[in-house]
Amino acid sequence: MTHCSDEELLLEYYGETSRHSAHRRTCAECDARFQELRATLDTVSKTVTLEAPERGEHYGLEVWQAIRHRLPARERTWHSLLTPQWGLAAAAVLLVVGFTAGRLWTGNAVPEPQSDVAVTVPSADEDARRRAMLLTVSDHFDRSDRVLAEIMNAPEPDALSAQQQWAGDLVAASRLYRRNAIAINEPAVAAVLEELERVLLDIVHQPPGATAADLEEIRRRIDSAALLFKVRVMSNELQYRLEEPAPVRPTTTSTIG
Amino acid sequence: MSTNPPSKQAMEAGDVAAVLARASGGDGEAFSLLVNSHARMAFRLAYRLTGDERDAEDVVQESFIRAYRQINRFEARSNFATWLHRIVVNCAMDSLRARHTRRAERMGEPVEDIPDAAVSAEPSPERLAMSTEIRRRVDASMDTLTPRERIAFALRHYEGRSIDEIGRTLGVQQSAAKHAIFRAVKKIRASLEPLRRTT
Repeated sequence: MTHCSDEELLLEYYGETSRHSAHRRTCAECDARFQELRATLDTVSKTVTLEAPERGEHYGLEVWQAIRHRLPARERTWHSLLTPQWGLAAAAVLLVVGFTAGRLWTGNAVPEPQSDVAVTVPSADEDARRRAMLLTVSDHFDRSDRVLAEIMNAPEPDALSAQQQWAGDLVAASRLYRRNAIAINEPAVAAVLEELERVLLDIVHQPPGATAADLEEIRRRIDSAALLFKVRVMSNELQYRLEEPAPVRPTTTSTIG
Repeated sequence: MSTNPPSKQAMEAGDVAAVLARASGGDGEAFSLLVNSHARMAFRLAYRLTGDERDAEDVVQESFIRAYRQINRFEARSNFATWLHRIVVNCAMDSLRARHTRRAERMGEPVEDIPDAAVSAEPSPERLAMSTEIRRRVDASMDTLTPRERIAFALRHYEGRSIDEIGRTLGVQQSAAKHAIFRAVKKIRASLEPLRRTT
């Protein structure tokens, strides 16, 4: 009788094959070796679980913050530009081009053509204003983070009404900051503020006596937009930029990247 | 519900293809969402493969940087988690090789021939519970495995991956993956042999 090799028994243990099951049933020696192998490997599974230590809820954010400045710069391709904010920017450019072309086409006297793109170096005053603005927005993101986190962790739907007053204050501020962000050429900040504003409005507009289903729906919206994550990333991003000694340059693409 | 950022399932329910397309176009915001939704999975795997928390952290970071660099090679019809799994395994392999080399240099021994000193030590049953001793011995024997043996064993024993899949992940023949697992099990069994004789 040919006995099973150790390799064959191991494959059997891991369920890679069952070719030798029949043989084991009739061969006490091979079956004993298999039982011994199984006992050993089962013991290994029980005593050395290799269960990873739990990582906190912000782990993804921590990893992102650790690597984001180490990522190689990459060219943006045309299809990556097909996002709402870039769509709006493209529409604005087309509008300007169309308007200018229209004026030229109708033969209107256009005196000295003036460049639409001015290369400017921010003055000390401008930089100070930008810093003040970004500091305020960073603080706004932190306060929004607290409101959103309260809602995400709330045990009862009552918590929604408790946060409505705060959300109402934040909506008004958000609108103002978004306009300012656009004015100082911070489209990525404006984009997150816009998303935040929409969710805050949803919270504000909840009728009195919100149900568990209402609370769940708000949570789903926050979660599906990754809003809490974006708010935290943007807040960290602004703090990082504010700590830099050099003038705070505007970011024309997403600062989350 | 917790304040966890969107889960992988939530992202998949959304438009993961669009996120990937944006990420491959160099959109960092899109890539940050992928990091956010897969970081925990990557850490669990990295920890299982390296058995060390700090090494696992490094592996996770290196894996995402590598994924970002190579994202243009990712095929849209594939599964991002599966693709990332392979990258984590390769990064863990590099980490284990570096650890192996450092240890060999410290000991002045050839890289592939590290003596099983810890395993050969006599157990102290009076002072240690049996399970603690088993754990110590298995941990010690895991440290003597070559990087490939360790990864192949962890993927088979702890991750439940098939030998065929392990071969593809490691980029080796199925037979090479199989033999790596055999050797790993052999070393682990040898390390536990003295305990079996005492019980």
